[in-house]
Amino acid sequence: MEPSPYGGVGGKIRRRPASRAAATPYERPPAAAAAEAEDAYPPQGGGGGGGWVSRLVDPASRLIAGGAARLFSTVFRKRLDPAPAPAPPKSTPPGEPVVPVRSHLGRLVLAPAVRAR
Amino acid sequence: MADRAPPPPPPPAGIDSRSGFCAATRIFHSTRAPGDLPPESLPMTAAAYAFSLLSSSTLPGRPALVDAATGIAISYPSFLAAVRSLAGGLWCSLGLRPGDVALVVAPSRLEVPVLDFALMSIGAVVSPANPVSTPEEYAHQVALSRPVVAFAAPEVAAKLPEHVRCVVIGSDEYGRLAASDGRRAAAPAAVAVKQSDTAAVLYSSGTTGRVKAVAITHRNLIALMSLHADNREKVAREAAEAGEEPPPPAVTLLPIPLFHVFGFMMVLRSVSMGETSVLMERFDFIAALRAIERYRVTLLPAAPPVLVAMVKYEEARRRDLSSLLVIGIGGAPLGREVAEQFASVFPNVELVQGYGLTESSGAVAATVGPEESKAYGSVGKLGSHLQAKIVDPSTGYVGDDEATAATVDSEGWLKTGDLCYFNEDGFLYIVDRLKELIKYKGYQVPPAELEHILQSHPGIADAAVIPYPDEEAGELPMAFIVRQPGSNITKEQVMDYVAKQVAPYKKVRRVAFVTAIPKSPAGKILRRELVQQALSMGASKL
Repeated sequence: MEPSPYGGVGGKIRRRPASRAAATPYERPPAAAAAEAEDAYPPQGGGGGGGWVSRLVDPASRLIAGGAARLFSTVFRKRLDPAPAPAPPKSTPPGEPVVPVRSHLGRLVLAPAVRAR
Repeated sequence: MADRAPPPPPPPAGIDSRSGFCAATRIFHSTRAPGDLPPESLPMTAAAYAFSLLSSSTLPGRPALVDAATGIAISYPSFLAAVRSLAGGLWCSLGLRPGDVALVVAPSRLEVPVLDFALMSIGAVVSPANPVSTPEEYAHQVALSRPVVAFAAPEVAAKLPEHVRCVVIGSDEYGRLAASDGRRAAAPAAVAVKQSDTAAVLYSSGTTGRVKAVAITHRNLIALMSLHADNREKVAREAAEAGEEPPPPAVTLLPIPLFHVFGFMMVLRSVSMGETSVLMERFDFIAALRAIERYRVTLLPAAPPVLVAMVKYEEARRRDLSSLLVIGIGGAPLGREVAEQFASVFPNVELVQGYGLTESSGAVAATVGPEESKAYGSVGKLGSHLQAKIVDPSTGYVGDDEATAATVDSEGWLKTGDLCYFNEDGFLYIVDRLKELIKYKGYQVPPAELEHILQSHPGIADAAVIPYPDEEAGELPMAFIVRQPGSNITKEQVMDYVAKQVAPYKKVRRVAFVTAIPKSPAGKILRRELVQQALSMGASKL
């Protein structure tokens, strides 16, 4: 089980920050930048939770940022998911692996897809 | 999440359905439905596949190719007839056979796609090369690919090695090859060419060192044409579900040269889909605007700097660019600020981001449809023909150019030279080329990030950031700035503008003002030239 994006904070925050949709590759919290000095490629599961909200708060307040994002989530009416708008958003079913996101920065390696016959 | 009809099969257990990530293997799989490909055992060239897609309906009435400068157009019937005639000439008069390599050295003229298709149709290997290379570069390329013949534009022929037989495009000899001659037998209809045979040899890494030859198979090209056909069907299906008309067949302006993998691939795609390609011999921004207006271009492949220019040049606003529906962005990451500026000036143009490599024959990832295009900064989702991993880039990284170049390991994984990540929805983000990261006091600074910030400044027309050597820090980020006409922005203002938006270690430390940023024909910044420029500036100050 990967640690929560808000590692160290008690309780379970299931909903992903709505600001995810607005994130660009270059918006990262100061903590991630500082961590980059010690280890340019932190272990998987660390970091994450980036987005514009993180630029406004310091790391200690990330729980608040997570909560604040929930208040703003209604602003992001458009979703990246190509599914029709009326469909309810699907959360990751329990048991499905947690995807490492921007903490998993590295060299891209490609291979032809293995196609089932 | 996926298309409603037909739904792709559910992903195997352990694979996240949104991102395609498999935790057990750490592999990202494509979330696209697999493409409809011909059986691998069926002998088929890329040209034959393109023509088979084309003839699934009557030939289009619109032109296949248009020369942007002259307006000369080639219809589909004429294109097919010309390819057939030339293929016969290559086979019978020149004696080319499957596997023979033919160097093609010419600007993007109408003869080139005909020649490329004719060569591929008989199983010969097309090897496009840059017409502005030096004789030494051609000698190197010839040593790599060992062509049996070169087809060269008149102005280039003298630069080719003497030992390679050369047919000058447009010469009488070429005309005789291309002429339809009733007395000459046509090339055999079913040349024994396997899909796994080499269709093309392209030259890669022109911006980061000595070129290397990259072989591309017919299967590679067939998979890509199939991918684009699938994407078009997806977009048409979504339009139908929304009660809208599907997009019209594209009129594509090709500012990207045909020797570049994207230009080469775009013509193949355009012909296979029965669309129109408008060719430019060399990129000129004003000429591109004129061509969009004149030919009612709907699709423009471009690097992000072209978008910056479209927002900032007055000329772009004076032209009628209302035909433009899509800009396909490649060659560099697209920053959100630039994308949003562009959307405010051109609200009806969809920005479709993509990422490809010569080594993978072009498309690796792309955004398909309006919703996916809103993932600013992302190059889109992984193509159905690929799987991907993100690995530690530091192994063998420092001082080892081979390790940063794209290479294929023993298990068949292509190691790109790009620093990347996937987000939770399976969108791929390119942070920068590993080779171009600036190493400041142990930190790694992506120049592309700083360039995005600089390009968002209204007083800056164009910008590039390079590593400047420094004894204490290792490398410093240095900015080259092209001022907007009328702008008086100073070095201090440039540095302050960036400093407000980034962590301290990423700040721009030096600024130089220039009249233009050197770029490759594909629109990529030629950082090595700027580094040399910076070093000579530094020397002159001492």
